[in-house]
Amino acid sequence: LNKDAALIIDVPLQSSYDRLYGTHQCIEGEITMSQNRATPRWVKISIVIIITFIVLIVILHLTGNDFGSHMNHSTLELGIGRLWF
Amino acid sequence: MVLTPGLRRFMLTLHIIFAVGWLGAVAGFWALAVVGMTSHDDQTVRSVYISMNVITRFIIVPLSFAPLLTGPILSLGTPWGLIRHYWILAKLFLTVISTLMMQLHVQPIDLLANATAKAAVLPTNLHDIQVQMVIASALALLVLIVETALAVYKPKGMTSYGWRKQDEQRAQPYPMDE
Repeated sequence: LNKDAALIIDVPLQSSYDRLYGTHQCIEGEITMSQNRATPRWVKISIVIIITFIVLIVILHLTGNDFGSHMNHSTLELGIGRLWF
Repeated sequence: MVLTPGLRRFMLTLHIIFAVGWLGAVAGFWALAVVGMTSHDDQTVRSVYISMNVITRFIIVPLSFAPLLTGPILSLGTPWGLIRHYWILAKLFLTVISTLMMQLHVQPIDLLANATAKAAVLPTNLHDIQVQMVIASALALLVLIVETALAVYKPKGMTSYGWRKQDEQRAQPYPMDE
């Protein structure tokens, strides 16, 4: 794939891999792997946010303070039933 | 499985239509939910919740499943792969969670639409479920915006599986001209 073709059909170029993941070509032409293979920071931050969000929802649910809990649906159905029957 | 460039472009077009359509439908749903919660006009509230029910059943629910089909086909049919890059994994995770949450909210929307459409006087115990609709759709909108941004920016980061596959590909000898 040349660069234009890859841009059109949106697939990763080998040179893009090299740029993104820290691989680079030495003067001698040998490809070295100097990349950092650790989990990226944005992934770690996202996981922390998701876990915090889940814990928050669980705490709110357990303390009965969650917004519009599904308990209200039965109340709503009961209300409709009373209106009609 | 490798998609031909033509088929890949077709699948990409479908994927964008479904994903952006889903985002637009949820944005419309959120606007209706806000109007339904804040309006004091009974007729407006009835119309809003009936419209939300229709949008949910005929647009949001089908569109929430479609990207789950086109996304994996696209990623598996190209060098991106499904579990090689963190941004693709994140999109898959968010899509699955969003789709599940949408299915959980179909029944409350149905109840809300029935409650407002059938009752002569609007029930007074709707506030909690109205708030739930506004917050849930706002969260869904936020998640879909994040997904769109992930697809455009494609933040760097490969999974260990992705690194392993890349190493295997690099280790393969280049085809020699005969």
